Amino acid sequence: MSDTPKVIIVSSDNGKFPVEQKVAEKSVLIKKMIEDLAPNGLEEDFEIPTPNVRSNVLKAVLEWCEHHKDTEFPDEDDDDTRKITPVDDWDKNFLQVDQEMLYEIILAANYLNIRPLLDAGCKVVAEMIRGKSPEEIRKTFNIVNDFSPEEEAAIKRENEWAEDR
Amino acid sequence: MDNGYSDAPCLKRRKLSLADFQDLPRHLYQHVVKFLPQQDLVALAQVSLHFNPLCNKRLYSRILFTPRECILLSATLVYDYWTIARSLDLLFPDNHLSAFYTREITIADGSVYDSIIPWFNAISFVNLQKFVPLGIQNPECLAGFETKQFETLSTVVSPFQSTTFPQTFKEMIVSAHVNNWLYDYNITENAELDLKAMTSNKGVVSSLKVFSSMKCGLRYLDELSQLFGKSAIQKIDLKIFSLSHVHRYDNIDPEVEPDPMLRLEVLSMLVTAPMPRLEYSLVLEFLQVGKVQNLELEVGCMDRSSGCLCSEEFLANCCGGFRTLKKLVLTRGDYPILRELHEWHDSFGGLITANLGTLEYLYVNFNNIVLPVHEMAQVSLESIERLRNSSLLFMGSIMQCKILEELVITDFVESYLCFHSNIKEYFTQRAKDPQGLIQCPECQRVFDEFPDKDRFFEAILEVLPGIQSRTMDLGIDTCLSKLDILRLPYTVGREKIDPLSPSLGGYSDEEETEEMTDKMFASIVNLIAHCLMPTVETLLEALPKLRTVSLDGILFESRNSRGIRSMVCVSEVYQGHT
Repeated sequence: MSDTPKVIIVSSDNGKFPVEQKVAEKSVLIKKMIEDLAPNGLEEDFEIPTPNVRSNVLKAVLEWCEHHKDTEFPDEDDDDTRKITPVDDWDKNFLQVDQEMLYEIILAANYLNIRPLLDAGCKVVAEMIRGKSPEEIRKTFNIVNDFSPEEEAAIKRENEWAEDR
Repeated sequence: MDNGYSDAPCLKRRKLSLADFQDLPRHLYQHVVKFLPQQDLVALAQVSLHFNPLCNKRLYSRILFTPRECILLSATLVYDYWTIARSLDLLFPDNHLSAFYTREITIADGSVYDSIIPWFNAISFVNLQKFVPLGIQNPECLAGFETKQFETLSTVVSPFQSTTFPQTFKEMIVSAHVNNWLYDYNITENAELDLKAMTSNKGVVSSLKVFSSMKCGLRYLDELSQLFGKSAIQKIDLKIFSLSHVHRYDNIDPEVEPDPMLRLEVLSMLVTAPMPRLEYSLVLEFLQVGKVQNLELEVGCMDRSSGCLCSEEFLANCCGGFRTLKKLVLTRGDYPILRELHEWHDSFGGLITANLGTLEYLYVNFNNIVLPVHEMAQVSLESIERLRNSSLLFMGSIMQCKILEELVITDFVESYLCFHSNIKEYFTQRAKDPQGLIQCPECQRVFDEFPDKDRFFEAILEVLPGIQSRTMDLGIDTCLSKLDILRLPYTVGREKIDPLSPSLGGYSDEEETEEMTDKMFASIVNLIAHCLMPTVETLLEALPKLRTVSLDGILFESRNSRGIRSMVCVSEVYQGHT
């Protein structure tokens, strides 16, 4: 067993996940916590609670962090590059989960401040919307049409100018 | 039932199981929406009341009128920035629209001007900050566009206009070529300007914008001075782009000679990827820069990331002729990496030091010096210290401008901050002791009154770019007494247009700032102003004629009471808060 101190991430349901510091620090939130609370580096195992993330979600997120621990992502401030960078195949496969899990991964990535995972999750959701009609989007996401017929007609007319025809 | 909530008191409870897309927090929808192209946004806007305003916010924030072929030419440029509208009639349908919410309209189709003017007369444009009438792509378009029409348009839009809105018909005609470049038109073929189209209103030009290659630029200047009379050209706005990767300008027109009659009141130059020294020397010689007293200069290199130092070379080698500047507007047009900051600083600052004895007005836009963390680790503390000290922000040079009356630095604090590991350090220099306790009573008061203390320093970072942006792009003609323009960034109108169109409730294309209240904003401005005060007072001590200082959008004025001069913050927000 290695003597290197681990970061132990604790889920909302008290699941404990020991990981390498490098893996944990894919989360900017955790990285900053470590910098603030252990400015001289980890001398022993360091426990970090993540009260907004359930075990199964945290496990998945940490799997992503482990896989990408050596990946260099585009600069966070480079919005354009981030927008046009496609979701890589491993991530696509990783995010092939049911919608509920996908949203929870997005929420966890947002909470833990893991921008590349958040981007990947949101891009997958965007892909689910692409090319669909309003009705198809409603079906995909189980959304109720709450427009009155008059409103629906007005809304359609309102944005006709932007239709890509 | 164990729902998995934590008892941690500091965190918001949230339902941990999500069944619906609609349960995501609003800011995450916004993130998803960012990845959707126009057509999908239109579809999602029609899905439900929940999604409609979210999508419309993006769809309506920046609108571009353009013919299809333009889109094909420049698809990569327009994608994700504008919503493209091809039909004016659909955008302004003949119903009961009374107001229209958008931040920016760009028109790249000259043929729509005739039909757009009635709409501009009839509709209130709420929140319009930028109107860019391009679309005059060839002289034929000019023929159909009368001065009167433009004046109508100008009057209607003027309350909302930004500096990008042309002030005169003539200026619009010429500046159209500047903007065309943005749409990927080939410069050499499209930047040709039919000057004859302008002769009908000969003699009224006081401001000209010329965009061209060096060669064409000289020829235009020559032709313009013949057309309008040399004394009529008081300001030349010379945009010098030289896309060295696209084509080169190898020949200067030998027939163009410096004209001793040319008397420029203002020279405005935008220089990117400067060309060989000889060419610049010829242009500057033609313009007789030794006589120029007012200079607006933006210099930046497109190849900075590859280590190109041509901006510095241009400044060092070609700007020596400016020796009698009274007003100087300096804008950095690129993002130098750290190892080049010394060179950049020395060359840019050289222009100030060369005119120490004459400068009365100085405006500097550092364009937010960018200092990536990984680069910061590569330089010595000594080096950072040097940059951090007064020399970085030209303060050493500025202190020697003994007749300086007005000073504007758009991004003083943020540029300074780039050399600090975090914002706390800057604001705690005067605000906190080493144990992290606030000592300064004023800072303590502001901190105590701030409603969300956990967000205090983050909020400062949020506010800074917003307030600075209001002083960006100011020119020599800016009246500093009107610079009190601090407002909560990105505020939008709230009124509804049409009960059937609940989505049109006012848009901003920026991230939501709904949590930032006017009171929080005023607190932050108050603190920044307070922390800037020692700098401002030092300036006053060194500069006996100093009247007005604007740092990061915060306005200070000198007061004289019983023979004692002092600086006071006169920003309305500041006054309101105190």
